[in-house]
Amino acid sequence: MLNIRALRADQGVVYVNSWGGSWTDAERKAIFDPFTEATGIEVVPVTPVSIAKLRAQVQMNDYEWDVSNMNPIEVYQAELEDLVEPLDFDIIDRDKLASNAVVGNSLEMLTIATALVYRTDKFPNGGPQSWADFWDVERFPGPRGLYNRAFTNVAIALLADGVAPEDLYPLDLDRAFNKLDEIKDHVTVWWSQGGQSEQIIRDGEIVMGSMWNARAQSVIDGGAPVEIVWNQAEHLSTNRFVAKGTPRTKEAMQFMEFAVQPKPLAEFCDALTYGPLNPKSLDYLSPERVEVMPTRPEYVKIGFHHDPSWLAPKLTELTERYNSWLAS
Amino acid sequence: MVGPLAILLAILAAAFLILPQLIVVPVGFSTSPSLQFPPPGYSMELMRRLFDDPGWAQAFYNSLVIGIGASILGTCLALAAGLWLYRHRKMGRRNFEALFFLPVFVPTIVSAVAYYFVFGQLGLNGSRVGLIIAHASLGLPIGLLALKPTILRLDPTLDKAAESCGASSFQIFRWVTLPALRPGILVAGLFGFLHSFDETVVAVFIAGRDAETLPKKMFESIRLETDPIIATVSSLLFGGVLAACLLYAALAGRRMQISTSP
Amino acid sequence: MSDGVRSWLLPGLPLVFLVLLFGYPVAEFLSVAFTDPAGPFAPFLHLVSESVYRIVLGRTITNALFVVVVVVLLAFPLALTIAHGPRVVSRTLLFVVAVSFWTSFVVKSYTWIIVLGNRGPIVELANLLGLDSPRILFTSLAAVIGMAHILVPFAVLVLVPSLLRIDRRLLLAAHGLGASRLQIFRTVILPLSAPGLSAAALLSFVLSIGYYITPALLGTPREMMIAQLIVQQIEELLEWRLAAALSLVLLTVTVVLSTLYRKASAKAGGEA
Repeated sequence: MLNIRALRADQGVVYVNSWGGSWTDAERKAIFDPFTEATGIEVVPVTPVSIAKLRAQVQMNDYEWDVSNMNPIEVYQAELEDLVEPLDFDIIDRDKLASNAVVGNSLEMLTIATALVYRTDKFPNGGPQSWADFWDVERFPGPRGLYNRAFTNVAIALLADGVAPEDLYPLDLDRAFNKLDEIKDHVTVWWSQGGQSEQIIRDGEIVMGSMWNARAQSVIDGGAPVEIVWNQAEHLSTNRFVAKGTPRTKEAMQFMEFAVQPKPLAEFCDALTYGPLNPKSLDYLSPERVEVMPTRPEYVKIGFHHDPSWLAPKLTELTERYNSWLAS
Repeated sequence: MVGPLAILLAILAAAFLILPQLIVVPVGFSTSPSLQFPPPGYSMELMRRLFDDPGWAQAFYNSLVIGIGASILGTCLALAAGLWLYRHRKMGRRNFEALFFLPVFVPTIVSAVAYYFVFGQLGLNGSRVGLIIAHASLGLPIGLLALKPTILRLDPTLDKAAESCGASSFQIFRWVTLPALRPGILVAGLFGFLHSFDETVVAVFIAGRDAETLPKKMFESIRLETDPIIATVSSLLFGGVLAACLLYAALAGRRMQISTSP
Repeated sequence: MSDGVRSWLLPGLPLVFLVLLFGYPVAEFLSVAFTDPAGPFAPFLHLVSESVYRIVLGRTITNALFVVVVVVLLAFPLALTIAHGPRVVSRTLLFVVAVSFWTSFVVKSYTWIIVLGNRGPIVELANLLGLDSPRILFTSLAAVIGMAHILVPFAVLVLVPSLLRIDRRLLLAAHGLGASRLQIFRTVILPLSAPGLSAAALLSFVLSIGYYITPALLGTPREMMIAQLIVQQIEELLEWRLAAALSLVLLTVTVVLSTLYRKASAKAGGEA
């Protein structure tokens, strides 16, 4: 079919999918600007991040962005659906990558922890310390917020119901949804974007909720009375990949290689306290900063992880079930 | 005839309409990242950030270009349709009116998704042309409504007079009809522009990256941004609408035209 | 001026434009609902069998009804005063309505995020009065308020022409015969306003059931309305067929009610 946009190809520019707000600001300073300086290729951030957009792009051969970053479960799913461009090692120099960086056709970037977060001014005698506490509306009353992601909420429901992190997989969906029913009406905001989560906890729309650790740290650094609970936090990496069939693969691969280099990655993680997965990045970070990152070994031990190979093939089905559950 | 109770209720209703928008203006100049009202302090920082950000400037520019394009296209089409429908009081023609009001019957969300679907196949998503087409179609009924009273008031005897002076059809149209229609055309154009400038749902779906309009950027930014910069944009837009309405009120002079069509 | 070819050109151009560039995309998209390999009506059967769709549709209709009530209660006195009130008051009110009418949905919805928010004036006021912070934002109530805020100007602009048609002399006559204001309202104004009111009510209903922006920003996914459901099917699941089926349902409800609206508005004094 006639595709007007495919006829025009921009040279010297790469479109990078980004999460907006403070994420994009940090990315711009730490990664985009240095990349443009080094290569002359302009970087344009495009929000928001969504796997559905990836599907639509590839299906319609109409690319709004070339490079994205998503959690390994969604990347795995995208690979299953053949939406990811194979890594081009003619452009990417393997020697410049960390030994563990390559995961399928994506490059590991950093770890994001989604943790329980609460306002200390609402709980002067101590706040919730586990997901079971989050479910306890008697001892810890007040409006709650949750990240509106199906697999995260299913997992924390199971943890709240007493399942040990090692035994999470395979996920007992029925048990999870039963548990979720208990908390459904006490969650006033089901947030979907980082900026939104910062606003609701800072302004007190919610007294506790799940939040990405760096966004919570921003709010704390800004003076709000908020505390992060590292117990039972969800640890997920975020991996960069190139959309399959994009007209700008060359620029995209160059960007990919640059973005996981120790220094740019470290500067990005310094601004937003996510844990860099390139070990050499730690050379550029101060110990105080590393203390509040998810990669800190004490935090890793008490957190939990997902199993992408189990979860990814079931993701669509789970999301549908979750959406129906939520809207009913 | 209208008692004090009714007037009081009316004033309360008007307050409901306008107060929230007035409340947002100071928040747009707040020194706090939080959405609190009243703000703890005032500064031009947010305004400065807004003007420094090329994304917002680009979105505003796109909205302007698309608005003007949709307005011109929509008004021309509405003019053609209106002249045919309303000029010569031919009986059967009124029945076709509904056809030109087709977009009114379709919920905007359905039009938006339909355009996203079809334009996606044509590669028209993310283009200003696509949005101009979509906005012109959706705005056609508004243009028609704006032109209708003016067209109905055209005096056929002027045409006959011109004809008897030897004017051709084209000359009659150019020198008699068009000038008489000018107020209606201006109103239709203005309405078409404002409708396109404010239109959000269709833009959210089909504007994409390259044709991002101001309302679309605002809608997405509400969740992405963590400070009241949206309030800053809102104050500017509110100021714009206020200025436009004041201008219109001044131009319309004493005779405030209250439209007689639904 | 309508000779031969030119008389076909005039309606022809806009019609072709509309049909090709509006009618076709809508029809093309809606037809996708029938292309499921499991059968032409498979998506519709799915809609009927899964309770979530009935719940969402029911909730949408309920919210829309609340919106209509609020809109009519606010728009009626506004329109009445604009139509028959003292000149200066009438002009000012009309100005306010016009400014409100031309403000975009997003701006208006955002204003309610601030006004109804936890740091906004309503909660501050409640706290000052010693009350618990009311939870309004991110509920269906907030969505209803937001939608009503958008629709009041529309309703006023529909009501005013029909109220203008009430002959002032009737009001004067009733007054001269000794009727109290309340009696004049009940026996003269209200019955004569009925067609305009029902048109305004139907318009508000028809528009609010399809709203997306305002419920998405002010409400909660827990209580979503049908437009949000359609968007979810597309944005998250790329389920074009189900989205098309849902859209067809929404369109049918809207068309049926719109037709009723046109009949009512024709009686209220618009053009048929």
